[in-house]
Amino acid sequence: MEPQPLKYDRQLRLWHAHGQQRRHLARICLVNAAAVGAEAVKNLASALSPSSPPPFTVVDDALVSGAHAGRNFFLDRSSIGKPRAEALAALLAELNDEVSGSAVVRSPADIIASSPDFFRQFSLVIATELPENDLRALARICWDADVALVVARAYGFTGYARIVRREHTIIEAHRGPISDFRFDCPFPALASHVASIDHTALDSMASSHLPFVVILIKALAQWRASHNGALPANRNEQAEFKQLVSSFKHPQSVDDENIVEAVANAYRAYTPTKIPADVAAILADPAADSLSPETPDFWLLVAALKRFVAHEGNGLLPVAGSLPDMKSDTDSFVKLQQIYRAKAREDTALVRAHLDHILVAVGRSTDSISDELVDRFCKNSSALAVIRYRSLEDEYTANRGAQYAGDDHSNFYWMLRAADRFRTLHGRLPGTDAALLVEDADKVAAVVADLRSENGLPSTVVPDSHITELVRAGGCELHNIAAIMGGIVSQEVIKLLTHQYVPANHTVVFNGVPSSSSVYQF
Amino acid sequence: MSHHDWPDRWKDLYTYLERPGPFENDGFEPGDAVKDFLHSCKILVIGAGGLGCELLKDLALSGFRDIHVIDMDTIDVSNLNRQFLFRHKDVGKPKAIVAAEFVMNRVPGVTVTPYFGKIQDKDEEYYKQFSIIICGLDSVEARRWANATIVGMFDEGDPETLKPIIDGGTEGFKGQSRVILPRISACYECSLDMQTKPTTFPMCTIANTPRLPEHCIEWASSVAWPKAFPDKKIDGDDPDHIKWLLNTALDRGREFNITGITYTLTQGVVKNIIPAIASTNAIVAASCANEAFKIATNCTTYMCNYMMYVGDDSVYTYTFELQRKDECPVCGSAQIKLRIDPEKTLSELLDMLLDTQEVQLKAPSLRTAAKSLFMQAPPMLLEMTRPNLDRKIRDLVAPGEEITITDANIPISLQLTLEFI
Ligand SMILES: [Zn+2]
Repeated sequence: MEPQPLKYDRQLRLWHAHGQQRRHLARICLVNAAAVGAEAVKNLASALSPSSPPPFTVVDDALVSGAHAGRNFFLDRSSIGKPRAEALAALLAELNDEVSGSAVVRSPADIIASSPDFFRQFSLVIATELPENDLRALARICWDADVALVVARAYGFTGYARIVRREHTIIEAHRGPISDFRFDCPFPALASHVASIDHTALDSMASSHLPFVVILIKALAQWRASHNGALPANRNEQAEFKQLVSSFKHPQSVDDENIVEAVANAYRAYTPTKIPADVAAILADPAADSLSPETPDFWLLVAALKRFVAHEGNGLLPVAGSLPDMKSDTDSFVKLQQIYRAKAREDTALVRAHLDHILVAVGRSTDSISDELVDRFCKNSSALAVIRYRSLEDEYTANRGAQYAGDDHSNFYWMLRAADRFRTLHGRLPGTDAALLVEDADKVAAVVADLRSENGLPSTVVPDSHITELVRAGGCELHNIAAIMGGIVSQEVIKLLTHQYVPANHTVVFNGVPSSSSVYQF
Repeated sequence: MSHHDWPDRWKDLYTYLERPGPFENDGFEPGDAVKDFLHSCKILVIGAGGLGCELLKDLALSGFRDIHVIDMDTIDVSNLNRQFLFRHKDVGKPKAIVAAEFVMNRVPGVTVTPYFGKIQDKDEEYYKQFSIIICGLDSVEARRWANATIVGMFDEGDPETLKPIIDGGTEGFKGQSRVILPRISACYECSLDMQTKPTTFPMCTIANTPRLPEHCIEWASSVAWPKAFPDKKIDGDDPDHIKWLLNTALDRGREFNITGITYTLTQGVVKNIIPAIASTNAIVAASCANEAFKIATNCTTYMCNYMMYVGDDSVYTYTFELQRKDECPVCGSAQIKLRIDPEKTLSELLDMLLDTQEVQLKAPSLRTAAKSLFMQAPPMLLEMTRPNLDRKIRDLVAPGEEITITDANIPISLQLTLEFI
């Protein structure tokens, strides 16, 4: 199968998990067939669309050793002595009839050094078992080619995952239900609907089914009429406002669930509707200003959104158009829902019109971005997210670890860095020779001291216990830690490929002794 | 070395088992004895589904060689995407048997003994043979039963009867794993109130004021179906049933102007499907197997004692020590005291008990030292005691008299005393 990452790249950025485009999922490259990488690919083969898992390529020139076969479920006794890339690809492909895997039996270091363009065919690379310098070189290649990189590692009881990507944009963060009521600024259709309801004329039954949204809009309008248009500002006023809301209860009504809901949501009514700070920052991002045919869809959509906000939106985002369930009779709820939905459709159409202008201006056809995507974008516009990762090079040359001084999981990060440096200096990992454990511990201590001073870290010493533990591990890969990290890596890869949910930024360290983890931005 | 082994097969594990370390647990002795114990100890995995498949793989590669697995289910097409030991040709076969065969083929020298059936089929004698028991179940009831049975086996005078339980569970991007040392750390029952309850909709909303597509589907399944098919239970896997419910819900939706009713949603509501993803299962299962390895070898300290995992927004774990409850009906001395009007009936007392959050009874039976008040089984006793349900409390027991409660579904017994008001 011919790699076609560029052809599908744009779609992949925004279309994932929606419709047929899933078929053309990104290609994934696994550099070195460590157990942690095999586990990640195993989960990906089943976690994404079961009928169209992403094709993967394993790059590895190692021959399967007895230890490899002992700790990796996708290598077995019969694979010992054979190229690890081929053995792994064959057993992983057995997982699912649809999985297509291939093997490149060539040294990753050699490809990194002599054919860096090789990695351009992938949209995501999972790197395992690379020495420090090769890893840094691979990270530079992926950075320049805008290929996402996930570094995965299981080392003794320590697990490590690092995500590197220039920019990751998210439309569907799934951070919980989006509530967008516009209590303080009801749009005309909503305001006139609420005004048309005379709650004082309702009998107790109808009154107890008045949706809390209607109650709050009415109560707030009343409040503002008697407070020069101001919202309840301080604690006293807010308490007073809640009393006003409670007074909507019908004297004969025994059922006050809607009043309880209105009081519980009162804070939303006196919190002014505005664009969340994170989204305001995205709107102000220069990426939405300099538009060209190469501008990713996400930023074209942001540019259209920005025009909407500046013009028809009067400084606000499009109405989201979804209502949570609430105490209400069917008719009142459905009516309210229709009013919000109609406004959302109107706003979305305006964003669409801005987008069409933009698409024409950059020389793209207006049907190159679907209505369905514009819909999804507008509905989620208050929860858009952009992550710009630190490059691995920045992490290695200007580490920000000082902020985590004394944090225990971050000490294990420094242990892994020390192990890599040790390998560069001594040609093997610490603790691989049972006769040299004491000597190795001294050498590791020296490496740690060097690393820390190079990175401008405080001289607080990493506990001896951590150094002893690093040496004890002897560079081993325990299957369970590999499986935990393989799980985390596959989860993060899914987020990176689908642009849904929020991936970690940028390093996850797991410690299998207490069984706990932390996320760092080194 | 077993004849199945090859050079360096266990090199990674042995590196840890041959060396002392700063995080080793009390009693860790590096050397051959700990390796032998790891390779020979019996471990039980309850459940061969999403977590179970991962667990069997993880344990086999962690050096466990005598693994048993229980599961009562057969393989469904919908399992294939997450339960990686199963293939299309296995659909319809018992999960435990297929999973055991797969792991034994892949990892030579490991014996996986399957049992295709219910955990309740087995008695204490069976559970006694294991050193460690891991639960990878999706049912709260089955976990309560396993927990109560295994914790109940512990006899203070006999350390051999202390069986560590490792429990894992997942739901979408969330999961948890935990280590239970019977009567030493919190048991499953101690934390029952942490369980998230499945969403339920108030009956009056469903009957009178539906607003969501779910309300219409719930109406179709709980009101319309029993009327149309009084003798037939809904089978969530039968497409004809789901289609009937979908059409009925669509009609109701049209009547009330409610949109968004789909086949997938209908099936989800009817089956109360808990979303499961492969990555969370992998993480939770491997953390359970990691604890099993540590407990079997003492090569490092154990998790203490509960890890919560959340993976939808970045990667988050929260590991903490869950406290034992003194009044836990399984591992504590459960004494329930209730204040009750003695004019109330026994049936009203039963309702009060069923509402009690701390004990969560399903089908309680009640007796005093002198007589049976209400027994759910056997049928003869049920018939004999049923008339008591309508009798007043004051005519059945004296204030302060001890009443023993047992439950047909969970092997627990607790003491109830009533104070009359
Ligand atoms: Zn307990």
